[in-house]
Amino acid sequence: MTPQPTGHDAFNSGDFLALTANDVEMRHGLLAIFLSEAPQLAERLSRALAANDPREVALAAHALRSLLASVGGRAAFHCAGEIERAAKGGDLVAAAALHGELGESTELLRTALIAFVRGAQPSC
Amino acid sequence: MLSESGFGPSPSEGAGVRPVRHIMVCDDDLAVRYAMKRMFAQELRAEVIEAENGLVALKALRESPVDLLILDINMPVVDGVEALQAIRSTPALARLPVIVLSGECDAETVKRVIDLGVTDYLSKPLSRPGTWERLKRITASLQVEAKSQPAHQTMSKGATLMAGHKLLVVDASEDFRYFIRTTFGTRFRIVEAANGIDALDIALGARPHAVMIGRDIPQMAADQLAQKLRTLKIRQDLVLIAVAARAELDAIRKCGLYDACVPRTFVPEVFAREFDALGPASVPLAELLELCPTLRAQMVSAAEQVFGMMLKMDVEPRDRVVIPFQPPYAVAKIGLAIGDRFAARIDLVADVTSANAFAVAMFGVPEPGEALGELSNIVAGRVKHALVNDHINVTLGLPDVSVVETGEVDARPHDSLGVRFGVTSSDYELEIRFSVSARNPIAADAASANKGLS
Repeated sequence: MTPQPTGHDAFNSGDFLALTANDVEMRHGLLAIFLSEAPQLAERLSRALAANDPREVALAAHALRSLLASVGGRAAFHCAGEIERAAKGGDLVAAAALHGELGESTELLRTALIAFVRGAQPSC
Repeated sequence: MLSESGFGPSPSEGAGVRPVRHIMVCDDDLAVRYAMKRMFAQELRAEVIEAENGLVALKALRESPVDLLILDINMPVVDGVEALQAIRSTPALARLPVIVLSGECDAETVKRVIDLGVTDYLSKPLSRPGTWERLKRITASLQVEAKSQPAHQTMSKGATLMAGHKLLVVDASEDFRYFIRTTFGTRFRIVEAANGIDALDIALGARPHAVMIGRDIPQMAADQLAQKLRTLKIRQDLVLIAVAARAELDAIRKCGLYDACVPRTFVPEVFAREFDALGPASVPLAELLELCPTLRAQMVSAAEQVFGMMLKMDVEPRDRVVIPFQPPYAVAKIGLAIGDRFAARIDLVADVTSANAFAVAMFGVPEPGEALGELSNIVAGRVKHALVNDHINVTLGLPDVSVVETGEVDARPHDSLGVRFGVTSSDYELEIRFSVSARNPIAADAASANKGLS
């Protein structure tokens, strides 16, 4: 089971499997971490955007990006990377514009990841 | 793919070398730490110690020697580059194998890390094809002395608590720290650190009001420590003091990192005199800032906004500058009662010639008392508004303007908050100051606070 990457899909099972291989327990562990950490990091990013703090926006987006990479969330990973880049360039307008997209792709990832880990077919 | 073996015990194990068994993974991403811990444990039978940032890693490395460190770069508190600098400057850790695993691919950062010395540099994400295989290969190729010395050294950590404000003294010399302890121990609560990492750790926990930093401290350069303390915002009003040879002071001042620079001397009277000139904050101010942590920022903001908007002039901070006002001079005082325990006062100071010119510029009439009083009232009102928004009870007094014919304008009022701003035009010069005192209990009559600091 080695699906090919399909671009910025919400959940890329190939990425996830590259890390977890046949370790089912690890998949469950990463899912649990994602479910507990992602909302906190998303909230941190929202607060930083609301506070107009480019440095904190960049740090929060970077942290979120790292988490998303571990669970195969390509679309959200890409989006968080764009937000981080925009914030590092001081462009919080651009960062804020991508915030909604990040939320949507993270939610799609959440649904697909839960389904995948709990035994359903991969979404890509 | 990942189930393949081949990384079992080396044939040479037991013959003086052994495979890597103890690995530290330093990464702020819990998922990365979890995945690596699991993979290293399963495939290399290695024990993994986790660290969520560079500071946690540096502290843990003292207690738990490891054979290999996997290090992220972009982390809070102490990042990977800073941690690596500290590691390489610690003799017992200088040769520790370090593999950087980071999503940070900025060329300058990569170059810095490589210059400091790393075994390898791998790009995140960990799920990138080949990354884990390469990491395993590098790890397996590392062999360590079977009976190696602990990869850490115990460093002294001192903490002496006394009455008064908290001053963290960071200096490699025990003699100098002793000197500070004996010179200022009755005035301040002295906390000590012998190196940069200890200093950072202590500062995060103890939240000192001031940090005095010697030049040649181990594990983290003095300026790097100062920069880090500023970035971490341990306190809004944190005072950073450089202690250095007189010949170095000018250069240090120019770097702009420190609030003050004091020459290094072991003569108590000389050092105390130099130090006194800094006007260190005292207990009432510290208590007030506990109640109202944003006070200094609000004051700065008020001065900048009011001066900037009304006068259309740039405001320059004058925290440490003595303005050579000559009498007669005019002072507008306005008091605030903050909470039920503190009096604060905003002073607007100008020499009379300046005050006249300012009044003409502001109101078109030579009424310096009215002009200064009005301006101080506006600044105080702005401060009050901000504090009330923070749910802090503030009562404002009435401006009290006086002309002082003789004597000197107090260069640095008692309990100064370190907020002094000035504006200079071709016609006039003004300075605004903020000072506080504890009155326990203070009457809620702010007008009396006008006199409270007189």
